[in-house]
This record gives sequence, C-alpha cells and structure tokens, in this order.
Amino acid sequence: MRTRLLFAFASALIIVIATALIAIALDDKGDADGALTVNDAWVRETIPVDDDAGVVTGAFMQIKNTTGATDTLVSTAVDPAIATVVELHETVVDVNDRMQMRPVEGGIPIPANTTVDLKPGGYHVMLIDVQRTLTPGETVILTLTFESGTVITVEAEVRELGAMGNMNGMGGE
Amino acid sequence: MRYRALLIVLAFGLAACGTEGIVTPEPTLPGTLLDPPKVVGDFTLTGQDGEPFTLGDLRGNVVVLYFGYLSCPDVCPTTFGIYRQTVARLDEAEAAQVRFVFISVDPLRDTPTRIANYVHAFHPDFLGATGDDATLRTIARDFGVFYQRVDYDNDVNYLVDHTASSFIVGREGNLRAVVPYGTLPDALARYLRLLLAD
Repeated sequence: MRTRLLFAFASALIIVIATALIAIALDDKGDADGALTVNDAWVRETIPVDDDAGVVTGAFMQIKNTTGATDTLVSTAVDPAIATVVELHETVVDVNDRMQMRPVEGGIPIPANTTVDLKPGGYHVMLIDVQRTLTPGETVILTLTFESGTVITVEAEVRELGAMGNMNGMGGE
Repeated sequence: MRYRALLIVLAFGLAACGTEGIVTPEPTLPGTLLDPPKVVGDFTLTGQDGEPFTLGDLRGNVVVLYFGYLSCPDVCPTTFGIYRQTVARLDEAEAAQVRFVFISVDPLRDTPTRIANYVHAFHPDFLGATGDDATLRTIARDFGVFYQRVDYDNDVNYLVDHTASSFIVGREGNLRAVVPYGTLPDALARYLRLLLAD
C-alpha cells in the first residue's frame, strides 16, 4: 500500500517538474519571435522665441526588446521642418551633483529581454536647431533605426515643459 | 595605560570631526543644511523683464536659486517642474515668502525674454536672470556652483555642464542649504518651511 502511494507521489512530482521545465524552455523559444516595441514616446514642448539662437529640446520613450538578442538604437530621424539635427544623448549627474550631457557613442544599447527607458536624467533624443515652436498636444513623428536593421516609426506627443514622464518613479503631477 | 591610549584616540577622533561646516538634517532629508550659514555676496544680474535683478531685493523671502540653461531638455525643466509641485504644497502665506529663480549660465543663447517665457511656463511668479560671464563667474564661485561650456562635434549646438543642485538662501540673505538634483517636492517644501520659520 505504502509503496504504491510513494510511487504515485513520485510520479506526480516528476510530472510537475517536467511540465515546469518544458514551460520554461518553451518560454525562451517564444522570445525568438519577440520584437522591439516603443511605448510612451513624448517630446518636451519648446518655448516661443523671437531670435535666431538655436532651440533644443528632448524626446523620451520606452524601448522594449523581447527578441532575445541585444540590439542598439543607432539613430533617430525627424522631419527637418521640425529640427535639422537629431542626436542621441546621455545625461550623467556625478557625485558632486554636476550634470553632464554627452552624445552617446555607437548608439543606445537595448539589451535582450529588457526595457530601456529614455527619460529625463538618462538617455534621451536631442532635437537640435528646432525650426518651429512645438506646443503640447501636437504629434512629432520620429523614425528610430536599430543596428539589427529594424526601423520603427513612432508618434511622439508633445508635452508641457515640466513633464517628467517616467523619471525615476517620480511620475507626473 | 590602556585608558590613556583610548583617550588619545578619542581626542584625535573628535578633533578630526572639526567644528566648521556641515550638518546633515534629519536623516530623511537629502542635501545639507549649512551650519554656520554661508555668507554670500549680493549680486545684480539682468532679470527676465530686462530690468536689473538684485538678490538683496528679495531679502525677507526664502530664495531658491538654480543655475542652468534653457537648451537643457532634461535636468533643468524637470527641476522647475518639481519647483512648481513644491509651491503647490505650500499654503498661500508660505508661498508668498518664497522665490524661485532660474539663473542662466548660458547668456549667449538665453535672453531675458526667453528666460521669462520659460519660467512663466511653470509658474507666473517664478523669476529668472542672466548676465555677463564675469558676473556669473563671481556668483558661481561664491555659491560653489560649477558650470562649463562644452563644444562638441556639432555646428549648431554646444552643451553646458553645470551643478544641478538647488541653492537655498534664507530670509536674512545667507546661503542656508544645498539640495541635490531630484529632491522631491515634499522634501523641498520641508526645507522651505524650516527656513521660513527661522
């Protein structure tokens, strides 16, 4: 009697473990069909100017990579009627609370199976030599090119000057 | 014998701490309350209305100073967004005695008009100022602010590295606190209340 019970228990355990292992394996394989997706893309509004000095603003977004392979955002483009120069930058605040922004050499890495946040205080797209005032509610089309060859077009909404997006969990107002 | 050695070590330890400088306030508040307060020189820049802006004219108020530039799409606007949220946490009487000032360390691009449009996009009572490089350098040295233009491989843009902290001047005109970038509105409001009560 006891032997039979033991046998049943052992079988059940093996089935449970096997199912779990299969599920894990399948899950990994599933990611090979994954994708790069961009969410919550936004551009900070620009203040109206009546002079010729350049205007600069930033674009932010979340890039989710479920492809199982690391990729890199190598460039972003926008209609030249919006801005004539677009760069990828990173903000670093050091231990002395000094802020530095620098162009990112080689592009922004998007590791496999992660979401990279382009947000205030970190990576962001710089729109430079902005040609006209961008006001909240408008949409700016951004074209993102990745090292893998993937090209994604996003509609980024223009948000007000103090918008924070997903900044370090601070959220909105 | 053993006790003497211990006393000597203790004495050195206390001496090493020193008496001047810096007291960290209640552990939950980031940044530093300066003890004693730092005496800073008065200064005059050009305000966002094109008129002279003199720090001393704000005596009696708690003044939050921020040194940045308008072509900064990131740290500067988010800080002023935080300032706006901070004002919302103060009552009317408190808010009436606090001033937020954006000092641009990029006078080449940041004209008073631009500065006005910028600060007023956050709050109608926010102030801004800029001036010539020599004056800005003096103020920066006095407050312990770092800023540096950075040219890079680009014809139409340059960057400005700068200290991202908020510098809080008390009602008596001395520098009372330095608060790091990213300090949340609740913490900032607590600093302001502390100094308003002083």
